[in-house]
Amino acid sequence: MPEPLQDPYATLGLPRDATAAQIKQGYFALVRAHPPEREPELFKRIRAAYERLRDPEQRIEADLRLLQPWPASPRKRRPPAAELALHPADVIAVARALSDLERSDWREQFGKVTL
Amino acid sequence: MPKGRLPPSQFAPSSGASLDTRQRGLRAFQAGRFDEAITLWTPLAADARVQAALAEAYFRRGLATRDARALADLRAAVGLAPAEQRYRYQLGMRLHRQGELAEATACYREVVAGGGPRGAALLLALATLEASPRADLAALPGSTPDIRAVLAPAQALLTAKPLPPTAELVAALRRVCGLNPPEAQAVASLWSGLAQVAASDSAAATTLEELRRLPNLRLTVIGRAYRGVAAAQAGDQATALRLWQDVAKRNPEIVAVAANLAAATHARLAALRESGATAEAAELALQSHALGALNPAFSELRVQALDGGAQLAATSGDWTRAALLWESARQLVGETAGLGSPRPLLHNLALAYEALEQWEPAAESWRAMLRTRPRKQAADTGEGLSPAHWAWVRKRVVECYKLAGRPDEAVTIFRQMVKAEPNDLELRLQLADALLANEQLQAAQNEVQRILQIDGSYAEAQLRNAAMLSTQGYLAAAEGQLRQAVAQHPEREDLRRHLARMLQSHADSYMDQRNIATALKVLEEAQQLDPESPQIPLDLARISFDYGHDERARAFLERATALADNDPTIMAGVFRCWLIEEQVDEARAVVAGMEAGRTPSADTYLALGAVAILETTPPPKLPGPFAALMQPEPPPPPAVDTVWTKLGRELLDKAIAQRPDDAKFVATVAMNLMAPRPDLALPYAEQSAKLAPDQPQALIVRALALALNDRIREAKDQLGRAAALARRLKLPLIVQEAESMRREISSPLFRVLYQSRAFMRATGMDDDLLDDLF
Repeated sequence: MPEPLQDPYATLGLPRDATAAQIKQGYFALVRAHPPEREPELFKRIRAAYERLRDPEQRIEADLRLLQPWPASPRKRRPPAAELALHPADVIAVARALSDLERSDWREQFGKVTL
Repeated sequence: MPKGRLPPSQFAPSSGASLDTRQRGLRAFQAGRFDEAITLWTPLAADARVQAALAEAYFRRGLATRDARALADLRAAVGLAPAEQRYRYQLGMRLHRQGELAEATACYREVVAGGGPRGAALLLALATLEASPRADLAALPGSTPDIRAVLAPAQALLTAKPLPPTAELVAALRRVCGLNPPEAQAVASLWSGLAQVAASDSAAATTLEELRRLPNLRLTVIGRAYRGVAAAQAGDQATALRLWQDVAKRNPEIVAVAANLAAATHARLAALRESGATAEAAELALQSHALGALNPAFSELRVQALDGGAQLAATSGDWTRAALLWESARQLVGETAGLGSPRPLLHNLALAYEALEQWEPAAESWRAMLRTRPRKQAADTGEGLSPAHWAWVRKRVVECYKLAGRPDEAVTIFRQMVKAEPNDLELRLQLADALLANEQLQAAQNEVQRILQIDGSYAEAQLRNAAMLSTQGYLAAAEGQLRQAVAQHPEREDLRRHLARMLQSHADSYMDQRNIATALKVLEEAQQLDPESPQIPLDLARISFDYGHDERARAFLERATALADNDPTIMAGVFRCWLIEEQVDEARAVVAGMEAGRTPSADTYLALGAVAILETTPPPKLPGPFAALMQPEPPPPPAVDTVWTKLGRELLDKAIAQRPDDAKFVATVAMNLMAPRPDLALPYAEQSAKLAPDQPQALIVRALALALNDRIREAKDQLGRAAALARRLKLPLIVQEAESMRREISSPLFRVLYQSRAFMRATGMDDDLLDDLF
């Protein structure tokens, strides 16, 4: 199974529209909180996330490698309502189902052809 | 049920001309090839016997098909044999099913009057009732008390009257419809249940639940649909949803089932999403895919549920499931007006297909995403995708088609698009990129030139043109093109950066040509264009050292350090400059400066330590393979420790101090030293093997260090143990690696080959060695 995506914004705790300055600031704050000598693996992830966002070209790739959420609609729409009444067409459908209209095999009505 | 049997028609044998045609028609008729029989018999229809046979052929074909031609065939049969009431009866039923009640009624009347199938009287009453629920059925020809009793519940419900007594109905159903007692009783209960639903009587759910023996599937399905309605009336939404889902699978034509199912599914979906049951909500939305775009709110909720489930699946690595869910969402957005652009779904789908390495659908998804781009750039800014983002998407279209083995497809697509919109320069640029990917370099260049002929200041084309000129070695022309672009678009910082990067890269070429003055000139221009780049002062420092301008070089290095923000790559570059200049104190100062900011990572220490040792150790003498075969290679001279070796070891020890228990990292340190200083590599290899005695890879690294220190027998033992261990761990590639090394390790060529390979690795040409092992 392919690897799941790593979101560098999530790693750095930043919104996707963070500015370059915010990215830098967020990175240094995290490095201070998780210095490499104490948490080398976490630091590696933080550093990798920062590397993906600090360069504008790499950031474009990072942006487009991230899943996009389906945006919530600002419009309030009317949900579908159930029809809980007896529909005349269904009454007729029951009556029809009791008649020949429901049959499909009419071989008994086939005539014999001899020329 | 009425049987409606008529005595079969008899056709006397025919004689005369066209006998062959008639017989051929007969053979086709008997084989069920009614089209052919009709074609053969139609010219002979003047013959009464052929006419009767032709009518039968039309009749059979009319019954065999469900399309519009069936009605025409039955009409033709009736026209050719008006006395055959079975033809007219079937025509009446076909018209009845299609809702042509007046014409159907007329047919039934004639059938009843002509003594045709006995079901005609019931159908005449039914068609009359459908046309007018309050009609007097007793006044119709052929009407009997039983027929009226069979239709009485329907008439009562259509006219909002109470149902007649059940006993009379059950008896009539047995006589008119041929039902057995349990079936007749079940039909009576169905009518009662429907009447209770009409009256919103809570007893309806129980009445309809007890239906077991209904005589046909349609009645069963209608019964289940209204059991769902009764459950919903009683507030049991879960039962209603389950029943309607079942009905929708069997017969979605029942009135209101689709709408009711949509309403129940919507409510359930909303509840699931509210409770955070993302995967369950996605599955329900997927199951309701066939309901289509009934209601925009319902579609929107399903898209949200599908997307949520897909995101969850993707996050856990299940891209197959994610792609399935996004495909469903994408179709739904396409079918429902006003839900918005499918762009996020197409984007995610493309990523999912790329993760699955399904390159063609990935290319199609990126391509579909491109089509969602608004034509005016201004409209785009709100959605967060810049022209650079779109350029990246275009590159993926081309790349994915290339990976799918169809780079030509991207060219074809963009050519078609350009043909339709020849003045769309962006499209032409996409075509140029596709041509480049398809290795049609000249065609790509021609396309870029065409763009520049249309608009000489089109920046993206100028960039492409400059890149192509640079690749072809026309460095000055490439620089000129980008300088022009920068001058024409002073607001575009990215162009300035591009030019700066190109000048940096050209500076390397000028240096290779020993054209140092030009290299210096272009680097100074690059620095003006991108004054924040730390790489440019670093390059300038190297040139200044070459010129002997040590003070200038020092100033550049200080600037590079200030801009580097402790970037390990740049700092390693600064460190290397001092190393080349043999200024060990300055190199130590670089390390101290880095440490003053924050402790460098283990990888940074490793990079610096390895550079210090690699760059200052004389390269191993690499004899030709024949020389090695002719006479044994003398042992290498003993390694000499220098101040740089000392610094390198200090840095490597600092690296290991950060990750003392990481066997792979320690092995990496050993591998970095293996070629230049196997004597220094050995202790690290020993340490790695001690840390991971159960990892055959660590044993192989130790064996290699032993071999390069001329301890061949120990190396062979170690490789034997590594192979056995790998076999136990079911690592066939490692077994192969260990055994192959064990065979080769005592060969005089081994050291030569290894050192050659290690040299490549030191120059970055073989970084995968350890990854192959670990």
